[in-house]
Amino acid sequence: MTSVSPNMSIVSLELGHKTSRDAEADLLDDGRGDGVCKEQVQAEGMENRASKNLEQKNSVMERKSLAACLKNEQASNEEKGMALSAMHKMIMDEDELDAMLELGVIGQVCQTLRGIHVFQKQVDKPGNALVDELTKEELNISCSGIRCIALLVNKSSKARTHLMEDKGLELVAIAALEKSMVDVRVDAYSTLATMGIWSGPRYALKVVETPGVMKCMDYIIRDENNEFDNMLKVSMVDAVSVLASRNRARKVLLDYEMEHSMRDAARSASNSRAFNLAAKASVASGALDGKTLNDLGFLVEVSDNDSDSSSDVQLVEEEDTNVTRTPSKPALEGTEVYDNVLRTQADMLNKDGNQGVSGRLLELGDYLTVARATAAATRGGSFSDTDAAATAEWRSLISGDPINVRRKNGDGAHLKALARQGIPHSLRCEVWPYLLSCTDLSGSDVYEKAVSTGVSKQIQVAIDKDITRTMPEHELFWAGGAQVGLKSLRAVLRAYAAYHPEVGYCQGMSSLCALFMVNAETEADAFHMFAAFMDQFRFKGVYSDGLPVMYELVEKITYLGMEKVPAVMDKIAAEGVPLDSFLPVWVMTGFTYYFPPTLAFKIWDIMLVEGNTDMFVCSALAVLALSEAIIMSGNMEQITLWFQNGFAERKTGIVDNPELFLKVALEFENAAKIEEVDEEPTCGIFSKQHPLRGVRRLPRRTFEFVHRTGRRPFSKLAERRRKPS
Amino acid sequence: MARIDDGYDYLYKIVLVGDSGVGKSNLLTRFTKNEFNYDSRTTIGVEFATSIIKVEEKAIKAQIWDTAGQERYRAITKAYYRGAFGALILYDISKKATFESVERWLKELKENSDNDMVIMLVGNKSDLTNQRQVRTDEGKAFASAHGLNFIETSALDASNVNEAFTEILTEIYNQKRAKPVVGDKEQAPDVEKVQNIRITDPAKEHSKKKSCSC
Repeated sequence: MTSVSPNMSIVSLELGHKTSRDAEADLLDDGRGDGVCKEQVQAEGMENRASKNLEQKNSVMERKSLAACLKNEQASNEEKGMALSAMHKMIMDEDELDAMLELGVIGQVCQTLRGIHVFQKQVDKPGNALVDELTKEELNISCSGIRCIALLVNKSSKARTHLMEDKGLELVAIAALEKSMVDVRVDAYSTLATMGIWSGPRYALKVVETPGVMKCMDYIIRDENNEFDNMLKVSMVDAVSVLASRNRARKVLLDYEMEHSMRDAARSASNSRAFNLAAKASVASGALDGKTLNDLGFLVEVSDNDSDSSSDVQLVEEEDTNVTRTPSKPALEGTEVYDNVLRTQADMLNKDGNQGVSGRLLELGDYLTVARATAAATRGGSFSDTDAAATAEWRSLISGDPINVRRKNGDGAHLKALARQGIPHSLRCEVWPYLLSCTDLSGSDVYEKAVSTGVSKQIQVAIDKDITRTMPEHELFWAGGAQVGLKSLRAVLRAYAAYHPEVGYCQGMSSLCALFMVNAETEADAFHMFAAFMDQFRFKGVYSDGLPVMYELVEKITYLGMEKVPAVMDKIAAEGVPLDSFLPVWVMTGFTYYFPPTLAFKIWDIMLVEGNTDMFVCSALAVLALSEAIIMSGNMEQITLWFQNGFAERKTGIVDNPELFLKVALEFENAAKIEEVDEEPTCGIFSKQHPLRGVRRLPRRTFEFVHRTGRRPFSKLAERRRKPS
Repeated sequence: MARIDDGYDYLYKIVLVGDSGVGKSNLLTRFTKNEFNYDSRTTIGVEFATSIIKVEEKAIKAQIWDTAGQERYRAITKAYYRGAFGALILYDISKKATFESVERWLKELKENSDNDMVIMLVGNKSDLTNQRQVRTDEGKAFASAHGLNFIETSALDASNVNEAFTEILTEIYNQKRAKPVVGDKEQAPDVEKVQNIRITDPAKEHSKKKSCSC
């Protein structure tokens, strides 16, 4: 497959897409699937067929028959083993891998593995099985299956979701602890590490609670027999750190005394190659428990032992694990250590071509921040890192009684300043509910009641149509995945429609709901935050009939745009670009639609602290302002496309630089505070000559005017500017 | 973003309407980019795309506005009907309810647009043969009863997608060539007049006719 030309692979991909509906139908239809399988498998033998067909460009049938063979209860173990190893070869090719996933291949693999008696036993007593107990075929199946899983989860977030939902991680843990499967042990371990590193808020707890997982992690990190390479250990430490950034998972990790293994690993690292591991392990143990990492002296001690240059440190993961002692160099400063760790992390992520990398980067960056903060806190704040201080502060802010943080902080200047640095991602699921004053609801039955109320068929249909079309790039909401996120999204939206029938359901609400869901620990939490936000930020009015608050915000943006970025607005007006071809989308999806999560979350952090929607207005103005240089030479079509999604593409410098974006946005902060226009405006629709003059509450009415007359509010203004008289 | 004059003879604005989830956005991306996206997102408000086709050796550019299907967005989307030369009303052949809405969409278009708009009824998702709930002859019958063009398409397997757009653009072309454009002074447009025709944006279109008193 790899030798196929680019065009060819597009063709085969298209074929894959084209037939995927058929394929699903086939798989659902047992009889047909088995039929295909029997004929093909028995006629020529899988292995043979597989190697032959791998050369062919159209491998749709191949995929289907492999999947069907795994599903077929009558297929012999030998056949299944061959099917799995053929599949393993096939999915080395990424296009094939995607297509296989569409067929739900993880489920098939897990099901096949469960058919082997090793995987049926209790994980509590691992390591006792003897090779004799497994037939050669069974061993073959087990190994190929685990290899397939390792490959799949390493490359695809969809596969990871599948594996979690199919309870396949349990099988991997068994394989990892099983003596007879020593050949695939590393595959199994790396799968565990991958699953740990990439576990989102939803799966962190599930991962650590999966029987056997903790044991494996502990075993590898301790590595008492010196049998594992650094890369694997580092990955495992990473996994623990990520898991430790989730509250509930952290409890489990602490119960297992994982922080001791971490500390031991860090202490035993005695050379530069192991430095990275050591640094990460100490950070991770800090993330686990501030007390273990008494102060950064410990870290410096670690770095004292080794590493002659910081560049050497960065390269640790890229180079071979053959360890050589390097001359020592003066101790690195604490920050430098962390920077190196972060940089290595970023490098690793950049190599990963998966979707959602930025979100992950954020998450991975964050546990380190948490660790830094914890360390800083234990040292009495002497660690000069503003991030760390901020995190510690957030922790202390939300550790008290559940009260309104905004109110508690008086004018909130300090809190606002904190929010502008961004709330650490791992803390968002705790901080946001505080900011929305809905922490005390998490134990209530408000959500359950709303769920049980039920909504009309019409609303159900409307919601069902949208849930698979909301944040589809996020693994929680991927339609081909395990659908947990989708089920929750559906449940919360239905519950809200029942809770506030006057709002019901409007497209766009699913985006906000998804945003909360990504940042919530439970479905009910997401609901409470969503409902609180809709109330407190007047967003009910954004979605209710007539979309009044949406128009209000759009008009405010328009008005301020004319004032603050007149050149841009004139150009838009002169080219006849309809403002409602892009502004409503931004508002109605809460700046999540075209904005990368890293930026969207930060916008939301600030807004939730400020307690009003001004930040949306500022963000819209920032996009307009930052677009100025680019749109000036554009025509109507180009500008429309630019504002619809062009600006959000990579490397446009608009949304891919959150710091700059927020800086520009916050420059409009004071301007955005206006609620009404008190003075007589001097131009355009706001001028004395205009029929609408004297209208105080501009927003809604001007917009209605626009729709009634079909005129843009500032077309006159633009005209006048063009022809100075 | 350099201004490129991508050479075309005529410019027509077209809108896509129909219930939520019938496949408007994917029909559009299939036509303009030859892409089909399984992970497509809900359209909020309106989305825009262009494409150029050849009709009788003339390059015809279509400016297509894809609209959100949900009732509450009607206030935004309605403004885009005005000044459109053509509209595609989509329904999903595997969902009867979306076909039943066609009449409402037709009424909505007629109320908010110029009378000579060319309207085509499009039964989408024709690849879902096993789940079909609306027969081809039902679609045809409705179309002929209301004087609409009719076609069944599949954005997924690309069947009839280009045909649908080509047909409606050709029809608009023939209609516009037969009589003066937009009721203004302009005669049948040529390259020079393209600039004027560009002003099919609802806003300008309207202000030109009404000559606002500001």
